Amino acid sequence: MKLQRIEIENFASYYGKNAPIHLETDSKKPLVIFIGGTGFGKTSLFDAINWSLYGEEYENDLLKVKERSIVDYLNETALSEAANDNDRLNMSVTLYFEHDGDNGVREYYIKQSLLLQPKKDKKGNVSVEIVDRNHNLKEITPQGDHETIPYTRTFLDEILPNNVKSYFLFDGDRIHNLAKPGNSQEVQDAIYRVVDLEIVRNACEHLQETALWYGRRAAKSAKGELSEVENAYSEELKFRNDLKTKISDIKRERQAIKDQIELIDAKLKDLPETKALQERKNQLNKELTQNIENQKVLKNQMREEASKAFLGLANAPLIELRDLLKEKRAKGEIPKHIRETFFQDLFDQEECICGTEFNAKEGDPVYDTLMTRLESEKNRSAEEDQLIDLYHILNNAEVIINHSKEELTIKEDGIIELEKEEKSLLYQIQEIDSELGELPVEDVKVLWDQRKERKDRDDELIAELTTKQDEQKNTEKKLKELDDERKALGKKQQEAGAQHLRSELAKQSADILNTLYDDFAEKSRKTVEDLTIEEFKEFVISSSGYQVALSEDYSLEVLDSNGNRALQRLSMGQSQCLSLAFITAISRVSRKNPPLVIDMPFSRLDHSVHAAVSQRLPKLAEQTILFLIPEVEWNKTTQPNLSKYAKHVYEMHFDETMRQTTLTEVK
Amino acid sequence: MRKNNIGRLEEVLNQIQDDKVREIVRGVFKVEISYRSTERVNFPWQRIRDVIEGVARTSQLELEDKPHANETTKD
Repeated sequence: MKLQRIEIENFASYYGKNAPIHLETDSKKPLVIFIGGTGFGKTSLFDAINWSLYGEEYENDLLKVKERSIVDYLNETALSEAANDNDRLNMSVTLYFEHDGDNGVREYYIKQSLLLQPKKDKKGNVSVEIVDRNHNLKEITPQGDHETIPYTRTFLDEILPNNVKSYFLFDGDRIHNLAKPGNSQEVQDAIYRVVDLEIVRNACEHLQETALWYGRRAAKSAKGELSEVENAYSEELKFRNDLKTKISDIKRERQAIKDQIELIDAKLKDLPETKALQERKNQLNKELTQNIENQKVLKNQMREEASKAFLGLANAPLIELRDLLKEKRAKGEIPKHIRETFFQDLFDQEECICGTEFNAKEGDPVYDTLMTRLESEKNRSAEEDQLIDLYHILNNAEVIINHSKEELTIKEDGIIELEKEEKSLLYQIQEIDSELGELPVEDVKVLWDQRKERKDRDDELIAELTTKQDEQKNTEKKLKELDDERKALGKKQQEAGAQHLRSELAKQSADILNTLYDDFAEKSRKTVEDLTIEEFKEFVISSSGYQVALSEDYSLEVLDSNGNRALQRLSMGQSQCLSLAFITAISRVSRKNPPLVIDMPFSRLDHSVHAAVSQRLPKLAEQTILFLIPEVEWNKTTQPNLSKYAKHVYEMHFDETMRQTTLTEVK
Repeated sequence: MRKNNIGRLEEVLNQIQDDKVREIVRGVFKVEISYRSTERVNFPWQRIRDVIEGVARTSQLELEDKPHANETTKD
């Protein structure tokens, strides 16, 4: 989707029918820039774009976030004129855009309009009521006809990533929030919605429910024993689905707790009284993770050694066998026969052991005699060679067994040491925890109590999760048994069999989708992570000391060069860049190339990163619309970087007396 | 009629080996996409069941056809 132009009528500070504002861009100049001071109508234009696309849904957002009703956006001058003349008036926004779809590039426009009736009370105060509203999406055909597209939202959802207004039409505050510690739920939601994980998850749940529905129908139409089995199956399936929901609830609750603990930790870290203890604790936790990792490595090595040392049990008979072979060797019983290499040596020398010289060619009597002897000895010596090899193997085996026994003892000692160290680290962490809990500073105590409470709940949840996961395994097994039984019985009863087939198809689809979901989710997470890392590096030169990751539980993690978590240490600018990097990543993964509309992107940025961000902004999307404050955001640093990529730059003017916004395009 | 765009969900469908399951999942994805675009009240269960019904009928027809095929072989 690429925005083309917008027409505004009586919306906020835009009085009357305004001339179209051109928004079209091209690949070399992907930016459109609006420059205006506070209250000049930048955010109103931003709201107008959102309202035209999302209508009443956006009105609800306005009410929630800004506590403003849509009628509050009616232009004041237009309202008082209409009230004086007792006329109805229109407020509308029309957004023209292009979309490169299945039928090539087509032009569309979406219009949101309200017909309003002003009302004056006895005191002369004017209010307004909505008489009619319209939200139309039309396609302009190549023949120039305007064809209505009935399912506006469905169409928008198809051509734009889901929830575009949250993730692609945003302001400075919103992007800052995504990278704040403890916001993993928001990041997860963004991924779920924008890259379609939500669709797969919901499809899975709805198929499970449908399988249950058909199961119940099968139970109703079944007779005798089958009826009982169908009922049992339905109940078990319901139990399994409930378990799945419960497990996913527990995981969500744990995620929320993790977010809360992260927030508390961030606060505790900022308190000077706890800083040293927290840092020590982080260090200990790092050592603990390393210790557990080392134990794993050592245990794996021990497993390998143990299999060799295990042969020690057979050590006595092996030595006995080796000694037997040794004895036979000493007696000359093996090798008893002449070996092939000996003959080969004589052939090479062309001289027999008795000193007779010969030609190593067929026809020479000595050569022929030796060859005949070689043939007869060959087979016999092969068996003896095997015995000799066995003798050597047995000799080596003893060395290997003894070496493995020694290694095993060393590694056992290593494990004991590591376990001791683990206990000591855990003890030290507990000590720090209790020290933190006993600090006589009120804030610390409150925060620490809150943290402990959450940690306890998390431990409870871990135990509950394990139980539920075990129950799930059992119930899957039981379902399989019941399914086999009902399949056998169902064949005998036609109607029940038909319902059973449908239930089975739905369940099978749900199960397959469930299996694919994890892979799909993980692949999506990894792709978003890779692209976020790539984009973050492009954004901020000073990011090179940091390593960005999107963890398996969807937290945006930033680690410093020592591997310590550093999200809360990012500057405002770096954190905003991280959010922008993430948004760019999910946009690319969605493959729908939405336009980016950003209100005041530099408002929270430190001046030192203006250059880097303004260099990167033109490369973020195929089309980016920016609303900037003069001097603060549109300044000597940003202007040269942005203007060369701008197709249109508009200066906004605001007439204080008339309370109206006008635009001038800067050439 | 305009094609329903399921974008990267196609990746999931491509991994489903069973034709019937793939057809069901494709149908359900379409229902989910159009439901997401609404106010999200009253989930269209009947549309999900219609998807299952369509595939189940084809399966039943196939099952009914099988004995005929055997009979022909016997004859």
